[in-house]
This record gives sequence, structure tokens and C-alpha cells, in this order.
Amino acid sequence: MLNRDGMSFFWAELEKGIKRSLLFTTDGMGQVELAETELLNITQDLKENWGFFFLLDLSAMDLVDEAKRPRFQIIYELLNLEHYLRLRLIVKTDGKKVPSLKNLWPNSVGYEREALDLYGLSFDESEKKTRLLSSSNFIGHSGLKDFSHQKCVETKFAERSAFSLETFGPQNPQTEGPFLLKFNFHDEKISELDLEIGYAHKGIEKLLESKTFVQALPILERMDFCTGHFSSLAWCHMVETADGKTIPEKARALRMLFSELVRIYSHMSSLILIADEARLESMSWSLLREQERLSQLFAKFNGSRVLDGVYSIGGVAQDLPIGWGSLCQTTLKSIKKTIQSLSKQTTRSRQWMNRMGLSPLSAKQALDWGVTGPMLRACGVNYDLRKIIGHYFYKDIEFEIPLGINGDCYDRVLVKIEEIYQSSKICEQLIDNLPAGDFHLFDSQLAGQSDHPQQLIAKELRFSIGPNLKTGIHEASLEAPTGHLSLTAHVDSRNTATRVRLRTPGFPLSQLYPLLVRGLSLEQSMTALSSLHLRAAEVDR
Amino acid sequence: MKIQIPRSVPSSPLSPGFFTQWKLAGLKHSLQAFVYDGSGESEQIKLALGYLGFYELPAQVLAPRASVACSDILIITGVVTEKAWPRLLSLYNQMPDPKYIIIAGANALSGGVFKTPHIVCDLPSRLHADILIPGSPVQPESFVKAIVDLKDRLMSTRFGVEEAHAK
Repeated sequence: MLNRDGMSFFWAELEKGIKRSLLFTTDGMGQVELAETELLNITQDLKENWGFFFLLDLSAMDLVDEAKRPRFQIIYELLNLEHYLRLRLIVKTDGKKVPSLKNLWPNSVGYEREALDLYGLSFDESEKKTRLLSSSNFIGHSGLKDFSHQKCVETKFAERSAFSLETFGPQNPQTEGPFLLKFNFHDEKISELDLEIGYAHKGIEKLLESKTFVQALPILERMDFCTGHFSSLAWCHMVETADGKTIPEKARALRMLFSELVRIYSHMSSLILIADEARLESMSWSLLREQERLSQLFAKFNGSRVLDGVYSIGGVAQDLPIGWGSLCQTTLKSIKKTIQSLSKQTTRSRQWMNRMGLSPLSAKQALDWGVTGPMLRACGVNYDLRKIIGHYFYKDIEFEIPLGINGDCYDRVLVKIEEIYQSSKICEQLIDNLPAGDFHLFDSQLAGQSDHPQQLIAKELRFSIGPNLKTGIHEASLEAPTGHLSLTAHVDSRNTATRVRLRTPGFPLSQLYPLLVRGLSLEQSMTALSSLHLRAAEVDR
Repeated sequence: MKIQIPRSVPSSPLSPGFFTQWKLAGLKHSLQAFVYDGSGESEQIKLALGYLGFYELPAQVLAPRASVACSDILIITGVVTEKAWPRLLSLYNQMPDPKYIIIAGANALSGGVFKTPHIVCDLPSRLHADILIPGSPVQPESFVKAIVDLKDRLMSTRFGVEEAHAK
């Protein structure tokens, strides 16, 4: 799944169909190099005839180090949901005029604007030539390899002008992190909305290019709690897979346990936002109390309330403390009890149904816009990487994937509540059947016997820099609480990542949101926003 | 790029004394806070508020507000980007006097691990801050301690706002 195993027939047919030879990269994904002129035809063919109707990612890369004539390359990642195959299209370009894919996939516009901002590429017919992530007075393009920072001139933001325009934010209690919402009303209903992002843009992808594989972990962790946790896990997963190491069984089980606990935490914070928005204050406070219990459980593990520093390349950082497992069981039981009583009061209530039955999203629309995670499952599309890839022990463990029907806020809440139950079910199974053994790959396995000085040096380097990875593209995908998180690193011969790409699930949602709220009132639009669970740190990176 | 922000000076020419003390005592027991959240870290502040409830501390220790124009404390957490800085400054200007600023977390103080061109790395020199809280992320206990410290400082000076600020 997601690679060439067992699907060689399909790939051979595809090679004949598009008359290009496929290259299989180090991460087992199909890769095709295309010219700029043939991009539109081939992507259309792939979308209509070969089932690649999901644009997962679009990212640009600066090749200036390689001193080749076309300076940039643009990487398109397509997903075939029928067989769960992924195809990477690489287009080399000088960045003057790249064909835009907005007629095929509407979510490509956001990615293209991001490439315009960070790399200065210009896509033809792109609607807005403005910056997406950096501030409007930023000088230069921060993604370029030869970028040098100049202090930008202080400017004041434009005051509100049109009388029908209402701005919200960037600081807004309904969002996690700053977003600027510019509403345009027509008779109290929203006729147009512009969601401006970039207020939490830190440039993590660029920052990671100057770090070693070990140094990247704390940066990824501090990006955001939920997605940051999963991206550090994805980083470990990527480096281990590229290094060809298999981590011990106990480490695998503990990683699953932590990621499921964080999933519960994240879904709970989403429910808190929704309850706040529905003016059910007692519900949000009781959920907050349960979340606090979960935080205290995390603090009992390694002292950190947001569970950072638990992963390290080769396993987990430390073993479970004595008695932690039973404490975890008690906490989960109490969480389930609270959520059960809350959902009993809300799910069938007419008031709740009236408030939540809005902003429906059809499955086709969701797939066009690259929506993943609980949002996509609420539309009825069964796409969960835990089942598809089945990494660690997800294949052996018993759990189900809840699906919605209408894809409205009501369904999203139901899917999230059911996912909390399923995640706690996974956690309970893991704690009951925790494998014995090591929680980390030990030094002897990593760098041989450590009595020889040379091996000692090798061990030390391994500790500070990380393993030597093969040149090429390495990739890891995980199911984060908000959707498909994929982390791609282009490793060159000097064992550094020349380009790191973090595909976060929130970004397409932020592009889709203006479409969802057209025709709603202001209050309803806030409910829709809280049901998306947008987190600025994750969207902006 | 340092911006000089005028110190908040009370406009009332009334002599400091009983009335100032009275005002501060009132302020102490009804502090309203506005949280500026740079990146998802306000979860920790929310948790801190939950923390106050969890241990049955008086619930009126701190009341979160959705409007900065009605609040006394501005809590800044998470990274502050160059793009968000003018907006943050306008939030600061909207606050009534006396205003108290708490900068919580290493990310807000100095950018933390994110030293990139997009980040404001010198926030305490740009904005007068009353209390700085270290940590990435902030521990709720240290956050509660900061609030208690701020309250002590409110009442410890006899002559009110001017002396409270003249450190």
C-alpha cells in the first residue's frame, strides 16, 4: 500500500498509458519527470483515467546548489484512493510562467500562492499575486537558498475601508492562533470571506534545512502541540525507515499509545471550541477539566504537560514509569464517562441539531479540495492512514473508523466523539498487551561494539548528527488528528536535508473555509470555523 | 526598529492616596485578561484557567475576556511574527490604562528555537512588559505564580500606578 508492492501491474500499465518511464524513489513512491508544457495534459489524463483525483501536495524546491539551468523544481503529489497509490510528478522550471492546476484541483491555488511567496515562482492566471504567508512588506523570498534577510520597513496595516467589510482577528477566541477573517456581508449573510493566514508563519521548513536530523526534533515539537507531536514522530519514522532500522516492539507500542493519547487530547480541544461556540459553557468546562487530567497524566510521564521530548530516533526517550499504565486506564475511563454523558445530552437535542446542521460538504468537494482526516470521514470517505499503511501495530489492533453522511458540523462532532472512543480502545488494548523488551535501539545495535576509538567517534557522531541517510527523497506519512500529515526530506550527498516539506492537514482546510461559509450568518460561520479545528501554527508552519 | 511607546500615565490629577488604593484594590479583585496567542500555545493558558478551577482556587482570580478594550492584562504567548506585530501593537493601544503586559513563554520572549526572519525576537524591548514567564511551553503553575505576583505588586506600592511601574 502506498508503494509499489503488489501493484506492479498497475504501474506498468500506467507507464504505457502516459508514455513515461516511472522511477521508484528510495521511499517506494512512483516518480515521473515532466516538462512544463505537458503538465496540464498529463495531470488531466491522470485525474480522469487513472484515478489520481486527489492532489495531496504541491511544493517548490530551489536547486541552486546543483548549478543546473532550470533553477527550480515543483513537486506535485497525487493520490489514487482506489488502490492507495501515490505518484510524485517533478517539473523543472525557471520559475517564469508555470501552468496552474486550478481548473483541475481548486486547492492548488493556495499551494501556488505559497510557492509564489517563498520562492518567487509565478504561476499563470493565478488570481492573487499577493503574498500568502510573509508580511506584505517582506523583502525577498525566504525559501531561496541565497536569501539574505533585510530588515523590512515598518508599515501600518490598512485601516478598514468599505462599510460592508468586517474584519475579525487576527486574535479571535474561536481560533487557535491568529487568523484574519475579512467578511463581506449581504443582508446579514456572508457573501464573501477572505481568510488571511501567515500570522504564525515561522519558516520551519527553511529552518530545518540548516539542522541535523537530531536537532530537528525539538523544533518540530514546538511548532504546535497536536501536529507538532505527530510531525516529530513522522520525522523519527522517516529517518528510521531511510536508515533501514526496525525499532523494538515496545517502542512501537509506546509510540502508538502516545499518538492516540494526543489524538484524544486534540479532539477534546476541538470539542471545547465547538461547545464554546454553541454557548454550552458547562460542557466546555467539564471537557477542559478532563483535558487537564490528561495533561497531568502526560506530566507524570516525563514532566512535560504537552508530552514533548518523548520521541527520539531509534525508539522512545524513556520507559513508562511504574503505575503509569493503570493511571492512564483510569484517566481514559473518566474521559469516556464525561464524553458519554455530554453526548447523551447533546446529540439528540433539537437545539444542538439546529445549531450544528450547517456548512455541509460533499465528498466530491472534499476530495477536490484535498481535505483529509475527520473532515473527510464525516463526508463518508473511508480514508485513514492507520488502516491503510498499518504501520507499527495498527494492523493487529482492533478499532473501527467512524464515517459520517452529510459532512456538516453535526457529523464532524459525531465523528470526533467516536474517534475518541476508538482511540481510547486502542490505548487500552496497548496497555493490556504491552510487549516486553527494550524501548530504544541500543548503542551496540547502532554502531557496533564500542571499544574501538573509531567506533566510539562514529557512535558520538550518530548521537549528535544522526544516521547517514542515502541520497534521495525520504518520506513519512501519518494520520494526525486533523488529517494526513506527510513529511518529505530531500537528502543530498552531504547528509543534510536540502529541502524539507511538511504537508499539514490544516492548510487545505484554511483554503476551503471561505467556500463553506458563503450564505451563513456570522455566528454560524464561527461554528463552522471551530468545527474545522484550524490551528494557525499548523497551517502557517 | 524599536518603537517608543509612551508610558502609561494616569490622566487624573487627583493626589495619590486613598482613592488610588481603592481603585487598585478594586482592580486586584477583578482583573480581566486578554490572551494574544501567537501559535496554539494559548491552550496552556486555557489549561491554567482550568487549573484554577481544578484546585478550587477562587474562580475570580482571572477572568478571560474576548475584547482587549475591556481588559487590564495582555498575555502574549507563542511566537509573534513581523506580520502580526502591527496588529499586536494596535491591540496594545486599544487597552485602557493602567495596562499590564505578561509575556509568557520563550517563544514570545525571544523567538525560542525559531530564529527566522519572520519572527520578532526582541519583544520585551519593543513592548514594556511587567512580568516575563520563562518556559517552552509555559507551565500553568508559573503562570498562576505570575498572576499572584502581579496582584502583590498592585497592592505593595502606596502611591499607585506610577510607582508600580517605576521599577
